[in-house]
Amino acid sequence: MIDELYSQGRINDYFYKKLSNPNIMLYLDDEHEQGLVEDAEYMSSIGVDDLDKEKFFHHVSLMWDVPSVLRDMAKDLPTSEDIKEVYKELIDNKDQYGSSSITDVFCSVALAARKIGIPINSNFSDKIEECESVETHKIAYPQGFAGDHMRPRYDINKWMQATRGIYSRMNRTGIPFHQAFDEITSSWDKMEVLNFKYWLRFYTEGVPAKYPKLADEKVNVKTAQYHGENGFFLPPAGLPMPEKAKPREDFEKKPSKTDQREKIEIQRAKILSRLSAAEKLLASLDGQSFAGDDQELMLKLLQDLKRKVQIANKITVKSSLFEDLIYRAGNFLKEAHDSDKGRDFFFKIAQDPFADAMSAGGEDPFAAPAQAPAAPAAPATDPTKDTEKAFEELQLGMTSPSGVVDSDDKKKDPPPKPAPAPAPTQEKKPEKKTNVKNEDESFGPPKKASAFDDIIVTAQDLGVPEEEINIGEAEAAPPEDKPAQNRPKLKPQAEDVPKGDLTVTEEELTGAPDDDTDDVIEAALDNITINDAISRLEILVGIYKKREISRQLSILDIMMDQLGLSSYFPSLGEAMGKALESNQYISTRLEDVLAKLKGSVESADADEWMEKQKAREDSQSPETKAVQTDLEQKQDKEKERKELRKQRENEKLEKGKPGQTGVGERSEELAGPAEVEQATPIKAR
Amino acid sequence: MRIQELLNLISNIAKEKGLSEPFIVGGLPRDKMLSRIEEVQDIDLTTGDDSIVPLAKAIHEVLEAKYPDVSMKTFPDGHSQITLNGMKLDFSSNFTSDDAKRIIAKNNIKASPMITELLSRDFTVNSLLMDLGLSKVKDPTGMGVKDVKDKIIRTPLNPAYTLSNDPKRIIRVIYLATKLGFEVEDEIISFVAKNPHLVQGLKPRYISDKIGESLDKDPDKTVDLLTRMNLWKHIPISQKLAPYASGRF
Repeated sequence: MIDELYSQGRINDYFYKKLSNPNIMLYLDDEHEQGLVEDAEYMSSIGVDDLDKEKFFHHVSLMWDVPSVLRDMAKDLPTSEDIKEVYKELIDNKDQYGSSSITDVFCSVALAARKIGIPINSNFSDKIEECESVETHKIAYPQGFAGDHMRPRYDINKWMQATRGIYSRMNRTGIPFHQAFDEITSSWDKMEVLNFKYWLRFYTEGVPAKYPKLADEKVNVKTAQYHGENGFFLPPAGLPMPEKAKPREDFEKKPSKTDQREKIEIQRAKILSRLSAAEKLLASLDGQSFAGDDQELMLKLLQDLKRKVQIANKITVKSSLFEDLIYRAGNFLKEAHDSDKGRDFFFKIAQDPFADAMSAGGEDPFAAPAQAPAAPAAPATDPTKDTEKAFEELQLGMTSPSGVVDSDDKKKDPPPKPAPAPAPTQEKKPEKKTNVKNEDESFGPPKKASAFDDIIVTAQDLGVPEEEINIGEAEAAPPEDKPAQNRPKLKPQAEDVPKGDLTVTEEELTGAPDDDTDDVIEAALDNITINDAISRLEILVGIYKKREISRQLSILDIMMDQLGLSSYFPSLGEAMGKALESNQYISTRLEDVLAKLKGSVESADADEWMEKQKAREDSQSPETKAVQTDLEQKQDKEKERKELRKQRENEKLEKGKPGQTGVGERSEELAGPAEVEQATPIKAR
Repeated sequence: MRIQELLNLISNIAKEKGLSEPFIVGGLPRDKMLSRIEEVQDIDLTTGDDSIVPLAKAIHEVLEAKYPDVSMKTFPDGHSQITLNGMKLDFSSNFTSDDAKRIIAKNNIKASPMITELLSRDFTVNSLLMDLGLSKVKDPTGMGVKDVKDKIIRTPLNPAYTLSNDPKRIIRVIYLATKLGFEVEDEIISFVAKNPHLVQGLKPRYISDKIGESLDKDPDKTVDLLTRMNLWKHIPISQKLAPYASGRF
């Protein structure tokens, strides 16, 4: 049947193929098959020959109700042929006719009808004209490309200015990039900050250089616009590119060794100034009342601390070597003398400077507390008597980190066993092997001293990290006493020993060594007289008068200056100054001692000395003599002036005293009663 | 030279020169009334008018001939000071406040220049006069004697005028109260409590020294006055004051 219809030309190729599909037709009954054939025949007659047209026809026939619309607007009743023609027109030009609204359907049908010549009712003529002006194209739904949201527009000028601000701040103040960025964008919106960051990163990483085509595109500079498919915001070519942000490491340079050294010296100076201020405070009246019996000990501790801080060799800036020394002193006061005040005092020095505490109106450490604390139990030993002993204990318990026992503190009497210094509360030091000669190697509570010659405590015992230990600069530890048996015997000085005969008798031995050094010294000093002391003093006075050490240091300074190295050793200048000061100090005192000693010498000795002196003077040149006499005259004049000044001051004091001469006394007339004359009160308020 | 001799000399010079009669003013007449004169370090002299200036010069000339060490200093506000062997003679009667003149005029008070000057002073207890014969104490304002007897520190005018003219007087209130053991009138305390900022223009050293001296004399009273006058936040806390300052802010 389908073949027959196709051969007759009643169905076109499109529907012939469709209807020839056995998969569809086999499962249809005759009635449905007949219906399909009739629809195919109808659609073939109106020009439906593809799927789009077929779909359109089904849409129009179902949704538009063309026969009804045509019936309403046509002048005459439309025939089936008219309707067929309208369908045919609509299908052939389906792109021209819209169907998105009722209006579109009406207009489409009316226009199609008018086109094929179907007369339209006059009532609809106006409406048909309106149909011609309406754009009946498909709209409304976003389709295709418009899937991305519009990005906000930012002011590129503002961003460029911000970029300049960031880099100028970095160059001016040296702060890192991220800090400058945060400062500049502190008041911005968070999203803008984020976009600015990405924008900046885009250029600092050199991305435009990787995509030259994008960089060449022209963009409106004033406002950042959505550009291109990927939405990059690109400045036009030729704009200055912001500099690449330097990595953070550039601004955080590792300090050089000289910088570290300078910082360490600054730290040392600060600690020393704190200690000096504390010493001054402690030496005052208030300090005396504060410290009480412990004042002397605390002052000694402070002075010792200052010395230790001066010679301590701190290697790293971050270590707290100086503070640890102070904490140890505080702990010693607490452990050995149960002095909370002393410990707190030293802890405060290590923590905060005194000046800050006082100026801020903080608690005065010297202020009497509102409630006096309970009196501590009387110590087992009298602290005043044991101050020296306690100080020795401290000295031996607090050797410098370099492991050196200061030679100044060595005494003839064997020092007692030291109280082991407790570790500071601020840091925990690792326990290491000890080199203490005493048998007890634990650092427990303070123990009683026992007689020992020398005890060397190394830094390891105190738990100081190895990096702090530097024996190179510090004085090397004294060598251990070798046993007497190892000492080499002195060679015999006797010249009569024949060659070949190596036997040496005791009589031939001269200058035999004595094992006991003390006995030797005592023997040597047995026959000493005042004259010997005077002659020794004279030698010393001569040495100090010549200022040899200061002179040698000056020569060294000149040599260093010549080599161009003097600026690297400022401590040399300090040493020269101190050498001169100490020289002068010692010289004056020795001269004083010498003068007193000489005064006590008998006339014979004095005459002898005078002769020697005269002989010395006679041997001098006339110029030297003239200078000497001139110096002596000046000295005498100076003495006279001083005496006169003293006299005048005494006179002034005498004059200023009340009750004697001059104004300022309590007059008898003033002491007497007064006659009072009172006027009428004036109402001035 | 004894005090009486010096004062006689001053009196004679004033008579010779035809100048107004000078009087001793300030702390000395007050202490004379209280019989607490100890060592005399300085004497304040006034004539009540401008004749004090030539008087000071004349005295200086006479003393200079006899005592080469004598010195004279003239200050910008017009008052002069002669120093002789550690004793200071202050010659001042030029300071009269405008408030005093205004109040006198407003209240139709017939006031001589001397009374105007006395009303311009800091406290009534300091407005007494003593003759150079050291025998008579006068109270022209009529307020000084009563306040000395009642042991109260009061200003001649309203504290708002007196203390505003010279804020140093605020600190002197405390010093004088502790020195003499006097009470301070409530008006002074309430005025200062409302205007403690007036002391901020003073030199810290001056405040510290005066408060320190007050603490030496009567620490309880000093602390009490500082608290009542609301001055803790406006004065420097010295080392001496620090123990009392905790918890005051």
